[in-house]
Amino acid sequence: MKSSWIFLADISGECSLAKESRVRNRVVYSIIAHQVADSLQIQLESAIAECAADIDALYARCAESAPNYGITVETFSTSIRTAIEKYLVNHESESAPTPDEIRQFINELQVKDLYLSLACAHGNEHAWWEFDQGFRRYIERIARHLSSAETAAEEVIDSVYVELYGTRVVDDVRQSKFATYTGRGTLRGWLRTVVWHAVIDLHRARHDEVSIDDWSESGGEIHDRPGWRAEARGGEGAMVDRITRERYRAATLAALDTSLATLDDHEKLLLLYYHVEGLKLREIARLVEEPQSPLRRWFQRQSKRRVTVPESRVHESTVMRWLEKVYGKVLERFRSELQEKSELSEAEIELCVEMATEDLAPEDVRRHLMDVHAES
Amino acid sequence: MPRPKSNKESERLRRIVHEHLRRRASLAQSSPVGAHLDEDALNAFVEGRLSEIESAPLIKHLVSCNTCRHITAQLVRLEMEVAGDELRATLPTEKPSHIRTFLSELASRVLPSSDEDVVFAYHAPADDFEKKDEVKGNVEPEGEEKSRE
Repeated sequence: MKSSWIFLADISGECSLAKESRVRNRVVYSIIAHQVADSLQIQLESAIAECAADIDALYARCAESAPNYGITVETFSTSIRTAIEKYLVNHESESAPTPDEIRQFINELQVKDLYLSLACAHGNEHAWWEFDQGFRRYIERIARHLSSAETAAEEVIDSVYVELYGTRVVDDVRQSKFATYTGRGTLRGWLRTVVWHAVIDLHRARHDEVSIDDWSESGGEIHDRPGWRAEARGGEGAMVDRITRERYRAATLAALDTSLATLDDHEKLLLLYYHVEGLKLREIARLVEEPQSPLRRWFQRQSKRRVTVPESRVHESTVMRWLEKVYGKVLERFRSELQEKSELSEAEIELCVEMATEDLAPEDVRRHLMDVHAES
Repeated sequence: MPRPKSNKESERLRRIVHEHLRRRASLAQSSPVGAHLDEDALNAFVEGRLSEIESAPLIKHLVSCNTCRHITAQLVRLEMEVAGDELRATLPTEKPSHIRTFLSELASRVLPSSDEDVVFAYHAPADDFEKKDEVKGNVEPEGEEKSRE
């Protein structure tokens, strides 16, 4: 009895010690995190300070072309800093951008658009006049293109303007949607996205929270489909056959998942755009049209063929070639997984591929096949 | 770079990957890496403005987030459709070319129009040459037009 008390005392002592140690560790981690964040902030401040002259020069250019917008250099610099923090500071790797990276970044910004949006966010009348002249027709065109009826389009346009102006006030500051624009993309493209979201929001409000997939014409087709085809049951032979097939199926699915998981994110995204989102080759080509497009640069780097004219247009055939390379990688990994991990022979691998082709056939084809079987 | 052994094998794999990815995407619970992308980031990605360093976390997010990926795909389609509309709106109404004008004029002389009564008559081939000369010289012989009427 005594020994058990001692034992319990030991455990409780150990527990309190462990708890103490955990608390101490948490404090240490918190201090380190703060120190890292502080050091990241110091590095960032120093890099931005080195680019102050470049930011001032950009501001001077904007203020000269639109002197009546009433934007101060402080407001302009703050918005540039927001953009830098949003796109260039990597909180995961805790790395701050170098002055050269910042310089390149600010030179790529759509500064004229940013300056206009800043002035609109601050409610400058001249800027709003300019904005209305330059972009209203485009907003209307997008709204009409996306809306089913003229009244719906008018409603979308109104709601976009309300959102852009901002009706909510926080700490005496009107929350204009313009404040979220950083100038990284064009104002036109940003507006297109804002209008798109407004259409979705209005549609949701009318149809009690319909998902984007259901709303969209091309995304609506994604439905939960039944899994692998259920086998007819009966007899000992059939049972053995079923067990064997199940083993192959499990191995096939695992090999497919592994081979897809080992791809680079760029390759995964390409496959997802093509197979899941149903983007056509020319639509993917459009997505990578910009020579600086990260997807385009990544795939071109993987290519053995040297790109002599980097600004040249990406054709559908190029996207097809990228896809073929990814399929090649998947197939090689798929086969090696089945050979090495599942220890399957060539004949068994062939059987796995056959089964996967049959079982993963699109639902309409499968239903048709099942109907044919039922009739026979 | 590994390549599929044959076209048939490649086609089979393409179909397997297609159905597998679609099924996985439709069954996947949304557990995206990081927060959803705002309009600014979505547009900057679709326009291809981001550097590789900037786009790395976005691409990671788009791989894991069905919603944001779907929006980017829809934005690409929208952009192309609107660009197509704009192009059609700016195209001048097509004017018939000179050769087409010439041929249609010729045809209107040789062939009876659909709303005219058809007249069967002897047609001397030599008349064609004469008419061709008239067209070349841009002369409309009044007498002959009247006689045809």
